[in-house]
Amino acid sequence: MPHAVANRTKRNMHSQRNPQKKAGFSLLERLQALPLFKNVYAPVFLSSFALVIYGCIVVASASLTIADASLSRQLIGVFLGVVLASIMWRYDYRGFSQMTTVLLVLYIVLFFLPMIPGFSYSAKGMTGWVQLPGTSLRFQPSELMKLVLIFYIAGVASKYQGTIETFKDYCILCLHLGIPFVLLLTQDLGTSLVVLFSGACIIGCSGAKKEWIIPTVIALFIIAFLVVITSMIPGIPHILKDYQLKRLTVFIDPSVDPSGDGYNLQQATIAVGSGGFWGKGIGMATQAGQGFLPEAHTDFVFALLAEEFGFVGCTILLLLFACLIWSTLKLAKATDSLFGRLVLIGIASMWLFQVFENIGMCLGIMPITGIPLPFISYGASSMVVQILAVGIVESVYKNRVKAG
Amino acid sequence: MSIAPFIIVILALLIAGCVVVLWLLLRQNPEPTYVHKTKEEKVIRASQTTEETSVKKADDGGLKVLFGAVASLFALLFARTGFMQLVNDQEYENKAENNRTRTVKIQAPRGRILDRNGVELVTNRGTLAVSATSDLSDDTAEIGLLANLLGMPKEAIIHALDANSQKESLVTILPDLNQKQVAFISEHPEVFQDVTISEQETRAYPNSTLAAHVLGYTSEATQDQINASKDSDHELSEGDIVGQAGIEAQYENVLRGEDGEMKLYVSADGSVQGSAETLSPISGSDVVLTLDATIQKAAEDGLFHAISIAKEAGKPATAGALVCLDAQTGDVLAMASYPTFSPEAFAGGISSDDWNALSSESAGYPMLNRAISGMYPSASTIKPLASLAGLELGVVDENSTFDCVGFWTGFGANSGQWCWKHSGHGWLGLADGIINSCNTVFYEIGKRVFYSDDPEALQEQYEMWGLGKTSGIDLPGEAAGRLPTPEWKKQYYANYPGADTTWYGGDTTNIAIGQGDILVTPLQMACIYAGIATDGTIYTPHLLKSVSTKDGSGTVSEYKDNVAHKIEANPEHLAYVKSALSRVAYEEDDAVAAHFANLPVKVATKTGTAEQAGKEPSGWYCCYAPAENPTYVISCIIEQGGFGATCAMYAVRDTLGVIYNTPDTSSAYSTTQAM
Repeated sequence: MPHAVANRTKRNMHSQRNPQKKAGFSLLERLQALPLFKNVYAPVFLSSFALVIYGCIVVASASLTIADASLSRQLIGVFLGVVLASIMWRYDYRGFSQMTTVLLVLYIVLFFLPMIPGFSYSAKGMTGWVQLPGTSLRFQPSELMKLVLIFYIAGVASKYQGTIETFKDYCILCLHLGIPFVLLLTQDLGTSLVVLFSGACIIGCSGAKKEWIIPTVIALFIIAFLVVITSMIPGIPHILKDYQLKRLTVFIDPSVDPSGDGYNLQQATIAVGSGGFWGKGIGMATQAGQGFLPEAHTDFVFALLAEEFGFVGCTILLLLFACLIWSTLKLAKATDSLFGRLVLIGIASMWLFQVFENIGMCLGIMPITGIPLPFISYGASSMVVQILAVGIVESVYKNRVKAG
Repeated sequence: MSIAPFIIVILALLIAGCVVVLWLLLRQNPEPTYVHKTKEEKVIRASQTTEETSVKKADDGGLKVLFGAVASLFALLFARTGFMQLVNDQEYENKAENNRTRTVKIQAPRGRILDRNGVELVTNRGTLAVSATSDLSDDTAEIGLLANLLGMPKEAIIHALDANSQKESLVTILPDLNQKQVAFISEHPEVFQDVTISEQETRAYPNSTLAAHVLGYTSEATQDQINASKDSDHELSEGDIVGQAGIEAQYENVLRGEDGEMKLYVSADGSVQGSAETLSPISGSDVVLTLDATIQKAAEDGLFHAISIAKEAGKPATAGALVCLDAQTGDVLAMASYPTFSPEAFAGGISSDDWNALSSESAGYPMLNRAISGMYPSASTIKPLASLAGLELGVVDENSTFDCVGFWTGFGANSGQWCWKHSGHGWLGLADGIINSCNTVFYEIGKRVFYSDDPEALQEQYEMWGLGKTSGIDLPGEAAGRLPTPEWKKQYYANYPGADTTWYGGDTTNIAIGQGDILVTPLQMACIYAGIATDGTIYTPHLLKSVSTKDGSGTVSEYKDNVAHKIEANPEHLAYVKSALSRVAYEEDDAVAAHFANLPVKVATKTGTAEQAGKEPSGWYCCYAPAENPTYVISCIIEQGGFGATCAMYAVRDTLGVIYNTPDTSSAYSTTQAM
């Protein structure tokens, strides 16, 4: 019976939105009917494809003025990502649902990898990097940890089959997220927040009761508030590091720290605002190009994009991201496998959080954290993982009917 | 790099294609098509996995919230982007422009100062200056190295940087580098990152100290000057060079040009990327003075010569001044003051030690232009004017005779006064009184005026000739001198307890012989002799001849002679006094006569010896030449140089020697005691 219920819902929705159109005639359907898209979910594929190209353009233009940015390195990341995503796409994602223990071990290994002497790599104040011994290959395991944790939480949550009966179960589920989150929090605030947000979204969609979720969210905010407040009082142990606290104060008043983060924030907003409607053009960015905007190719890449491509470029970027996330959620809604659905929700919320936080930071409506903009920011680790995420979405689509 | 834009365009087209397709897709049914497939294929199958066996589905509440979150957060980002890029874009644009542009002032060259024949007195010289941005203040190591190299204290560099109000502009650290310093800085760009070397112009003085007092000097504007210039039509800013004295200060508006501006594009680390626009500076105009460099040189050398002679005679002879005017126009042909200073010392910013030396009493205040600011009793050089006043007032006439017995008792034996010649001159007329500088004659004139209907008539006569007032010369700092009156005495001595504030006849007789409280400047005396020479017309003495543009396209404006005082004196009286003056040099003293003998023209002269309490007397010498048709007027004083004929006379004679190209060949030394 539940099959029938699910089916009816979809049919109803369909008929309500396009009452006059007959199924099988829409462009999407025609496109989706193409051999290329037989097992590929077109909206996510196309929007991520466009975003990757957009990102390459931005990195290419950044490389004109910023020595650190290299298009070829970025393209290596794209290539690696596409290879891994293709493998992922071929593989039935559902295999992961039974591998929660393996995933947890993988998560812990990735967490401790940068601390192992042979693997750790640090330069220019970067921490949490791993360099494969004997090679110059470097990556940030924390990027990959996001996907591992999404699989892990989705796997754990899907075991409850859509209804979490007791509060105890809910608490256990929360601990499955909370412990890895706190672990990561000690190393990388930005990534741990991404993990927390996407994990929370998964739990929220896994059948937990509203009466539990809402107090949990409120409790989280209170804890966060207390963490910030205690960090401001001298003499007691601080949870937030000084620079993190500073970023929060700067967010409230950018003039507090005109040479550090406040400067970055001001320069970022100047870069965005001065882009105007059409932007200054490729390689013509004065803020990003002449060094006024720091991290213009990584964390503040949106400001560079906004300066060079203006409102038009920003609108296209936002539309592409909106399309990517929206259609991923759409797919989640339509996916019958609970595990698949929760994985999609995790990935979509990861994108949502990263995009909103990163762009919001450049617009001065979010505090500064070191979260890259998916597909756009320079950095092969991020690129590989984001394309891999697209591969997961496509794997969910490909395996929508068959069991692995 | 050349291929990059091409690739980017292709990629952009690809994106555009994707966007169009996606838009079309979303416009259509947003529902994934596989829904229909699932319908056909019967969606749910038995699955090996426990999860798949589950048919329960979580309710869509959480998903709905997520959809809502996506919609609202993207709407927020979109709205904020639009607000920043479409509404407030101009404000951000301006900020971005401010970030990357830096305005550098281009100093406009000051106008030159030339003498009447076009000889350059002050010109400009290109120098290499070292300047720095405010970033330097963060780098103590660099400051230390720079201080060592330039030989200036670190504090001075820090102070210069702090004083700079515009953080983005360059501040000059040292305006004039030597070649070694330039080479060192250029060879070590990695050390001196915040430092640039640029060409600047500073004042140059081809004739060294010649006419230093007239020319004045330039230096950076003081804080007071900057404050005072606020709200004026020319606002000064830190580091602006302005005239501080003399002609440089008097004609600041003419000499200074309009500074230009260069807008530079800079990167965040301050390196220059290119220049945006340049506003060329406009040079200041040249000022042509009435000075004649040759006569000026002669006057200064003569002054030095006279002082040397006085010193040889054992006098202190600390200082002196000489003014040479053109009686017919008021042109100042020479104006010398001793001791002098080097205006060059100010060109590169003067050190406080140098400044203290220049403004100290022990050095004799070399900055003081004694020709216009030095005040001395006029002494006997006033006697021609006193004679003329006596004639005009009718207290004496051409036939009056006086008996000089050496001690004059006109106001009673108790208040008797000496003539300089204690043995007395015997009976003599007014003209002989001038020639021999007999005090008795002038005591008598003073007494007669004092007892006349108008006891202050003598002062009134003097005032007509410009005494007690500034002459109006175009130089800052001119002194007015002092013409004592009963009212003045009452006020002046009111401050001295127990002092007698009553005006006595002796005060009037003092004025008649030019001693006591009367004070005049060398310039005022020159003006009086110019007035006598021209039968009563005193032109305003002036240094400006004309102003001309830098490129020499022609004269902009010419000074128009201006009569300061027109004295309606009886021509017979004037002729009488002039004839007496023209005999002085040749009849009073054989030694003086010997010095003047070889000059091609006759010179009308008068000596004077000013007595000042506790000091050696100061020697005066005033003259005009030629006596018959006067052009040149000279007045000279040697402070504590003794009798006028033994010191100041040499300076005057040397100046005349250059004017008439007949150097003084006589070695005769006057033994006169004449005051």
